[in-house]
Amino acid sequence: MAQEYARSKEVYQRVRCMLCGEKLPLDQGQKEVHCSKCGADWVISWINPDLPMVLRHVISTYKPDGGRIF
Amino acid sequence: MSQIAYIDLTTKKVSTKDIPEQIHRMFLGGRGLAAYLLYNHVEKGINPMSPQNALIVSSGTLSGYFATAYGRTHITGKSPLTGVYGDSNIGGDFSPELKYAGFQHLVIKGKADKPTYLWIHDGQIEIKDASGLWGFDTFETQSRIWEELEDPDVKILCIGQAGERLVRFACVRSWLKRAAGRTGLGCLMGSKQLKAIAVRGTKGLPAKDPGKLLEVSKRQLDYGRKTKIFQIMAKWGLLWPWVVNRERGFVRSRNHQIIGFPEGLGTMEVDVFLDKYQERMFACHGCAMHCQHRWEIKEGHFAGLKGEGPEWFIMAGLGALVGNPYWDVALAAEEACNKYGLDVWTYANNVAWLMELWQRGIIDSNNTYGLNLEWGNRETLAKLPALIARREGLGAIIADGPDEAVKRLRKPEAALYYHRCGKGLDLEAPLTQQRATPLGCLTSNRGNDHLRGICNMEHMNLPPAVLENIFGRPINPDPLAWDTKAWMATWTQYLYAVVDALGLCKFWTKFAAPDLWGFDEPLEVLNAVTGWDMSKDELFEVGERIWNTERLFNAREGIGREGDLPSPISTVPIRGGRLDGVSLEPDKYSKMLDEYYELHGWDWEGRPTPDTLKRLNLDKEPSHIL
Amino acid sequence: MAAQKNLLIDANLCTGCRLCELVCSLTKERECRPANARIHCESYIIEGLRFPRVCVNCTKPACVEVCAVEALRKDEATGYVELDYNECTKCEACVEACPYGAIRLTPDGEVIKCDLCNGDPECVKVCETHAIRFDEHQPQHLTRARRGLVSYTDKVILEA
Repeated sequence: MAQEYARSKEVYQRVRCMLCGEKLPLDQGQKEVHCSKCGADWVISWINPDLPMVLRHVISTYKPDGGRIF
Repeated sequence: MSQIAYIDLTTKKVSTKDIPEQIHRMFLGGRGLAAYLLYNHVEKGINPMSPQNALIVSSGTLSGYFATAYGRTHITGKSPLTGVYGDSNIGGDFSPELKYAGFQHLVIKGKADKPTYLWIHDGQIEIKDASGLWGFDTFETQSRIWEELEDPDVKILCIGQAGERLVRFACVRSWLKRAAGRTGLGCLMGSKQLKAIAVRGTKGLPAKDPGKLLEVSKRQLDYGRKTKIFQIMAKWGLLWPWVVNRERGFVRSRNHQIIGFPEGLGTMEVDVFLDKYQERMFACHGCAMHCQHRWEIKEGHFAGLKGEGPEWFIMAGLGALVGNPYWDVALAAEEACNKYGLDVWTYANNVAWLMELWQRGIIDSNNTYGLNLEWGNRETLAKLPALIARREGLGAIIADGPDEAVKRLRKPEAALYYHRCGKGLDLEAPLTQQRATPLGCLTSNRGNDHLRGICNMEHMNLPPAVLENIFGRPINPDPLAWDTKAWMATWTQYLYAVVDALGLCKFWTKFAAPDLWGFDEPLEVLNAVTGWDMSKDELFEVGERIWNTERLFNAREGIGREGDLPSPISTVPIRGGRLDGVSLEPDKYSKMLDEYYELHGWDWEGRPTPDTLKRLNLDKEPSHIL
Repeated sequence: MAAQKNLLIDANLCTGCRLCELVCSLTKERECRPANARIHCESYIIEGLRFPRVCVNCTKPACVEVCAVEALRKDEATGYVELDYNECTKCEACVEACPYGAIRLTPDGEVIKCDLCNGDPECVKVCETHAIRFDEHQPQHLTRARRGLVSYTDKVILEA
């Protein structure tokens, strides 16, 4: 059952926000994604055409006063 | 049939014994039989640095066969660093070669009168003179052995100068960065004046059902290569945990003072490493995942350095923990630790501790012999391993463990800032925001360690049906819930025990992802190789038996419930952010620990009861059969 | 003449996982014994180099020229070099002659050579990085392999 879950559309073509766990669907080749739930921005890396992974925070999404969002 | 070799370095006598199939089936090789052998060959209360301590080098039951990633070696002994059960697992290619030479376990006791190394080839064990190797670093030692034996295919385990000088956290090394790091087993090897173990084998390993083995292994390999985690690890290697674990709270920086690693954002990142430093990927024996990087620093202060790595403890330790946001500094410090044969995590913990003392003004450059200990200082990080290995200056102060270091510094308040857990091993991460993971790590028999009990599936937000299917019982998917987590930790610990006994690499198991190996897949290969008809329940019980044998060793040494308690820093609540107020509450942890002991059949102190021992056939130990 | 499909090696892609040796010995000898595999992956750990050595079916095979009893023959139709195990006298001249070190001597004294598993080589199926491929012969692949292969003893002698 773990295998079917891991192959499903639920797991591919989307990433999870690393801060709050929200599922973020992606278009093919999308480079950055914004989490509507917690406001974090992530850079996406495509391991292969249908396997996206969160790479890191987008640095420019720190708050204007210099405070960090986490 | 692979044998056990007993080597006494004092009398230079070597004897061998076959492994009875019944005992092999009860414990399996690798970590399992090593736990049994250590319990039988080492008496209660001996000094770990004495000749009576045993160093046990073990191959897994399935090492050397055609199956993915069964190439790991397990090294066991009474730890010179903590004084309790010590063991460590090392990758590379040593264990299959040991099986091809005809041996599955080496039990090394005594102490040689001069530096020696073992040369094992096709059933013969020679004790050779290592005076031409003593005093050289791990790279040079291996090169010299390959030249002396005129064969680049010899597989080697060795120690560096740190192990020779009996630094308490020295480790056993292979290749450029493969390490049996924790619990100071390099010091144990050095105390026996054993510089290296070299092996070359050309025998074969017959399988009871070769056709079935071929079919099963090829099918598992094809399945594994299509999983998501395999594709990610094949490209990113050991940088994958770095991406995932920072957000999870498994990383703390500046000696655990700050949650996460905010100063490393933008500099210590996966894409920066892959662009600037990565050269190619290497693999351990039998593994298609090839997760190990080779790097070269082309510019900057450390230009020209080449090496192998990085892996988890370099990023979390020499990066986050010491407040260093630059890859090249971390890699250069790793290179120094690799050469001198030091455990990277203990080294990073010591440096981070000293840096916090410097930050708080408790020590200054008079205490540090002129070294600057600001957070992330690159000279100190790259130079200190050499000083420790030579026992000079600041290195002499920290070479014998934290208690001695506090005495030598003459600052009793410094002890407050060295974070350790029950059995004396350094804290890995305060683990305030999970429940099964701290339980699994803290109750591990060598001290708190993620490789013995981390429950990675706790934070993956899996559907409850998937969790129940994997663990066999309902598991609460909330990482902050306390119920059902004792069973999650138990199942995971037994899985890792079986995996270490077979010689399998944890990155192919549910350590990494839910669709990789549990108990079923190694069981298929095991039954095809040995011809047994072992069931999944029996394999689960093997894991339980291994776990209880290790626990018996610690109970015999007098370790009880206090060895499973968290470090005080874990009980400090997180401030700010989405996990504000979360901590590892001691009373709730204690209740979960009681539930855990009851599941195992142990008493309130965590010692196995006579009924449990009888059920697992351990009531007659030590039986001295092997 | 039709291009022959051959084993093509790119040593730069080899990670040294040794799965090719294991599957070769299990398929051919029914036991896991890399010393008896027809393919061998030589490693130099400190330098960070891996060299897979296997028969690449040379256009003008040195082993065929040197074999006194003609146990090694190049088949004109397929282009593959075949070793007749019955004719072989185990004089080991071919082991010395092969520039790739592809003909091997087992610990029991047998001479062994890859026979491409009757046209469907197993090692190609398990190689993750495609360092071994079974494809049509192209001259530049062979040059890359030849440049990469240096034996350890040669290295020591050259530097001494």
